[in-house]
Amino acid sequence: MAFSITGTASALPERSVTNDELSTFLDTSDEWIFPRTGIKSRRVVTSESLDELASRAARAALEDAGITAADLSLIICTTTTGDHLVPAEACAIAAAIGATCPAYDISAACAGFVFALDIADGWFARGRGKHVLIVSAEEMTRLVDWTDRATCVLFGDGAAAAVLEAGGASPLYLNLTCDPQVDVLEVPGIAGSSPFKQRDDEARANVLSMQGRRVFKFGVSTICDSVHAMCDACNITPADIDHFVFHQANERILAAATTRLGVENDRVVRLIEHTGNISSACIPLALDELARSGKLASGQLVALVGFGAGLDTGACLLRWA
Amino acid sequence: MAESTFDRVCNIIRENGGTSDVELTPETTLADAGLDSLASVEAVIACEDEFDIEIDTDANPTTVGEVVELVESLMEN
Ligand SMILES: CC(C)(COP(=O)(O)OP(=O)(O)OC[C@H]1O[C@@H](n2cnc3c(N)ncnc32)[C@H](O)[C@@H]1OP(=O)(O)O)[C@@H](O)C(=O)NCCC(=O)NCCS
Repeated sequence: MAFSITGTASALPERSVTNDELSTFLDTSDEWIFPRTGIKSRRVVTSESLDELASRAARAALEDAGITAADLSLIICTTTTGDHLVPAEACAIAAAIGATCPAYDISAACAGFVFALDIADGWFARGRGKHVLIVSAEEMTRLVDWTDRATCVLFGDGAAAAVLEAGGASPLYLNLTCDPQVDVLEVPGIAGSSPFKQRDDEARANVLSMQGRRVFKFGVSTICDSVHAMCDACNITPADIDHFVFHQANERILAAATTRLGVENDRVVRLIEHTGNISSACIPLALDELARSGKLASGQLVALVGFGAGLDTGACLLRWA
Repeated sequence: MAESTFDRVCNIIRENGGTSDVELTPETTLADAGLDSLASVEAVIACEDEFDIEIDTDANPTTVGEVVELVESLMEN
């Protein structure tokens, strides 16, 4: 059955925060952050809600695809940082855009968008509908520990969306993996106040913790392994792929993977410098920027690799419609 | 003559951000060689490719000699 992506859009918060601004309340500097991450500034939520950003991206993606909310058969939101744990963030998006189709969230951390593509692919294969909306919306700034300079400088907020239509040439390849290592990158769940609970969760701060070097090494190897597996399965080489859209975790991860794969720099999309890591929103945001820049031509091959906590990886090869 | 492991490790360090004006000896620390903490991870990844080995992320060599030892011990296995 397969699908094609017929619309993309994004919505970032207004406020941009530079490294220099972070150094006014954290023991850090642009001289440390930029060379190690490629990040100069990130967008952060101030008075907007994530619901608003997600709905804005959703509406604009529908418009880009030339359809209305009534045409949707499913809405999937990928998030770990929604405005609501219940109901799903996707339900808030449905309410805002006036859709009445099923709507739910999935959590595969930074790899979420590619995992959602797999769900949509199955949805179409089962003949359940013609259009699926995927919205990746993240407010990472509510999850980080603002006293931990090794993590809070890396992340930003934003939302991006894609409309998928049944029928088409994508995906040529789609593979999801998990190398289960919970404590490498973790945010503990709600502690709660049950009078019956005997385990003491209170001590676990409700913020993100990460083993940076481990994640770094995982990022470089999972990008390269995924691209090689994709090429083997499709009988092509990395040189045949027109655009590489990797999760934007750290410029140094992107640079190391690019060198190791032996592909030209300008085929690897970069937007981390002014956004930071927006978790699952990075890949659809990069697709949207690519589509808008006019660099994406019909028939081109686009390789996506999302990776992150889990440790999850999602890899997908698209033929752009 | 084939290049020694030490020479090959030194080349990797230079290619991964090491400065050329420091003479590398087994005692030179990776920091003195010009590698920041992430460049040492990058050098470890490059060693994996060069020597076809897998290095545990927890192995955190701090000197050139420690990298060479680590590589040689893994190549024996
Ligand atoms: C986070 C990351 C940049 C940290 O780099 P690193 O080389 O591992 O740095 P470390 O945490 O080992 O810290 C090295 C030193 O820099 C310091 N440091 C860390 N963050 C700093 C900052 N923002 N400003 C100044 N100094 C900082 C540390 O305190 C430490 O100092 P010390 O040696 O005096 O104790 C890097 O590990 C990384 O990007 N990893 C991948 C993370 C990622 O992509 N996560 C998301 C995946 S979806």
